[in-house]
Amino acid sequence: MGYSKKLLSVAVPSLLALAVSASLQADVLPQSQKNSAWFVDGQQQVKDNVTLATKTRAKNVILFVGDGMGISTLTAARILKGQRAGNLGEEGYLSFEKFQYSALVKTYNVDAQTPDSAGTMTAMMSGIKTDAGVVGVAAGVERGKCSTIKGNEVVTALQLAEIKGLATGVVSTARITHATPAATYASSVERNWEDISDMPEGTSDCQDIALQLVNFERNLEQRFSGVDVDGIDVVMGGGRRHFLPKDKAANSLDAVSEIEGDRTDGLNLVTQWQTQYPQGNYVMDQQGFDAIDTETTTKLFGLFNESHMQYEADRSNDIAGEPSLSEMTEKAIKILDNNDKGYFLSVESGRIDHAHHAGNAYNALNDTIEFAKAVQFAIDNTDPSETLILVTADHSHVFTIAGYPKRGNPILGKVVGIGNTEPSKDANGKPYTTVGYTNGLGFHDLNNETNADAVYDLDPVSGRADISDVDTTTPGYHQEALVPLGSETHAGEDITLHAQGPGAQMVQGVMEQNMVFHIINQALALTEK
Amino acid sequence: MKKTILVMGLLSSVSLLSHAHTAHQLCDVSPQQLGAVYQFTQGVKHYDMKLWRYNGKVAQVISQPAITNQWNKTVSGSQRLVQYFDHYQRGIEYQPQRANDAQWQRHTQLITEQLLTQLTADEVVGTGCQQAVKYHGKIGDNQYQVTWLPQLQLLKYYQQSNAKQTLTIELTRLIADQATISQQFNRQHDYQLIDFADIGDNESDPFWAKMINMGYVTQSAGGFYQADGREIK
Repeated sequence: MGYSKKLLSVAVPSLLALAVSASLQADVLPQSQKNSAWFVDGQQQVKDNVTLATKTRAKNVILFVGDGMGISTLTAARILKGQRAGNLGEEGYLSFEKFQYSALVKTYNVDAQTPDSAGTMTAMMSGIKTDAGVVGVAAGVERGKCSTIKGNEVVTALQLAEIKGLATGVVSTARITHATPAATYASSVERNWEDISDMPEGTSDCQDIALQLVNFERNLEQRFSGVDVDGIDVVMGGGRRHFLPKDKAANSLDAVSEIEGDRTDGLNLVTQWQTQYPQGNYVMDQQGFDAIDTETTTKLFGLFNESHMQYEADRSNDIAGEPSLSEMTEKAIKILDNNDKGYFLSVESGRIDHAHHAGNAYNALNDTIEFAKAVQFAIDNTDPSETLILVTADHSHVFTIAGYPKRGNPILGKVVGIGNTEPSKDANGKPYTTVGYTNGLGFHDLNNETNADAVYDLDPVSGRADISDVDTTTPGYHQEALVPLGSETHAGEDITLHAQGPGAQMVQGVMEQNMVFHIINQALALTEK
Repeated sequence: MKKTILVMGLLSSVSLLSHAHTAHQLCDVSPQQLGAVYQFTQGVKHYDMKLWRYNGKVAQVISQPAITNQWNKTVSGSQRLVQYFDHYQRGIEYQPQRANDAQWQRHTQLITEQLLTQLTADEVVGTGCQQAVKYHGKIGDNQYQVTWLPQLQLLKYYQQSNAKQTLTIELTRLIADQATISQQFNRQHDYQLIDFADIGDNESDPFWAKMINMGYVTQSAGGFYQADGREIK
């Protein structure tokens, strides 16, 4: 080191003075302050952060996406989780909120201030922002116009991981062809082209999203000469309708439509997948899922519902039975980690978004808690020195936590102020809930209905409702909304990104959403020779 | 209220129908596969609604606006609604709902059998497949008059009146032709359908954006609609 003796002679007394000063300053703090749990916990967190020595290269990356899981959703879900455990609630954390690194993420699309899942997940998977409504393509396309796709297809992190020889997986509680999971493996100028029957005439040069999933290996090898990949190893979600022909004979055991399949090209993509991967396992119910041996399974294709999978609260009502998000995460990790080179896994909780659209906070928060449980499994069953875990949302919702409820007040309940036992009243003398929506279908009391979407049978409600005699904490309660709309909408404010593991230190500050790809790329060295 | 039945003698079912249906034709109609055209009258407003039953499915069709609500039962017994917007060749697929028999009866019969048990059956007209039963009674503020075709499990006449309004539903035509009936359930095969849960993510589609902004033309719990397609309260 180039320090001079003179400098040292000055510095040593200064350091001593500083130490004495610090000691004196510490003594200034009263015991009640220093011994407070708030103080001790905060001090320990800072000490932990000081000693962090995070590596930059990861063997594995798991990207968790809570669809529509804005910051207010995180806050309310953590309170609900704590209150269910008998605590006041506010002091707790969701599993990923304990990660040392986090950032705010700007979610706007190239053409939209308030984004949709297609544009946002494409940003996270490709490193570039694009338009709303399009999947895996650049903003140069015109939505819904097949002829504009050529030259605008992006390469995704999952595709790069495949090319690098990593194991890959996509898991979602939504249809596996829905925008968020689709953006990991497909390119489409229209997010709704989930199967060929969704595509208008004149689009024969474009492939529907379900077909791209099953043809993933072939398409990638044809696109890049000399590339040899083995296909996506784990695929689990809903959306069987897009893989089956429009033929009653192809119905699954728990079909809800008279004819389950939508495909009008006669293809049965489930049997096609089974032909392509004779060593693989196709499962469609809880029993088949439970029978999967993760140590011997090399390819898993699970389609557990005709459309989206059930809300976590409604899962027991599924005809054939469905695994939970945490169960699917466990199965996916245990299969993918058999690959010595590492893996990339994308896990989406797709129905947080749907519950919010229905104006039903209970299911949005309940699914968020299940999502946090899935992340906890990943935390507990991966090595933090080799696995980067990223947890984020794609966009927010117009979900608010308002009023001045006292500490520990039920988060789904009516506002009861500090020192009070009776609900606070508005200017009209009516009680109001802590959580609510800026727009949407508004107040509906469906009691113990666990399916948030039951509300779509009902008209939007505007104006204040008298909820004096209503239990607002039930699964079927739909919060009031200011602006009456047929569906509650996304919101445009920032969402959060939480990180643990090698490369997590890149997650700081306020960042653009496409940075997520670059963080994954850096950690896995996907584009390095 | 004790139900009393007064058999008034054998009157031909033909006289019970507004249009010319012979007794033979009435007996040819299958309760599982039929079409029934109803006229709704509320004040000065009139409109038609068609009820169709076919292979365990039921559809209610109104013409203004052109909306078809079609229900089927899943293997678990849940009831699933698909709502078709016929002018636009679009539709919404709803999540199956756990529902009781009364709700299924509202779809297939327009009224529940529980309502009939609360009314007084005071006249039976005809026998066998030609039989019709007339009911009347008062429940709360509402006065009811109902004529019921038990063989077809079908409403022939319904009047519900209170101090504010009177609603009348009248069966005007029965359709037994199998080709016509099946066509009602096949014509939407090429419609563009969307899952109810996905509407909020499709605000860029003008049709669905209108739905989001204006609210839906709703499924009717009672099967009764106003002229604008909304449920009669």
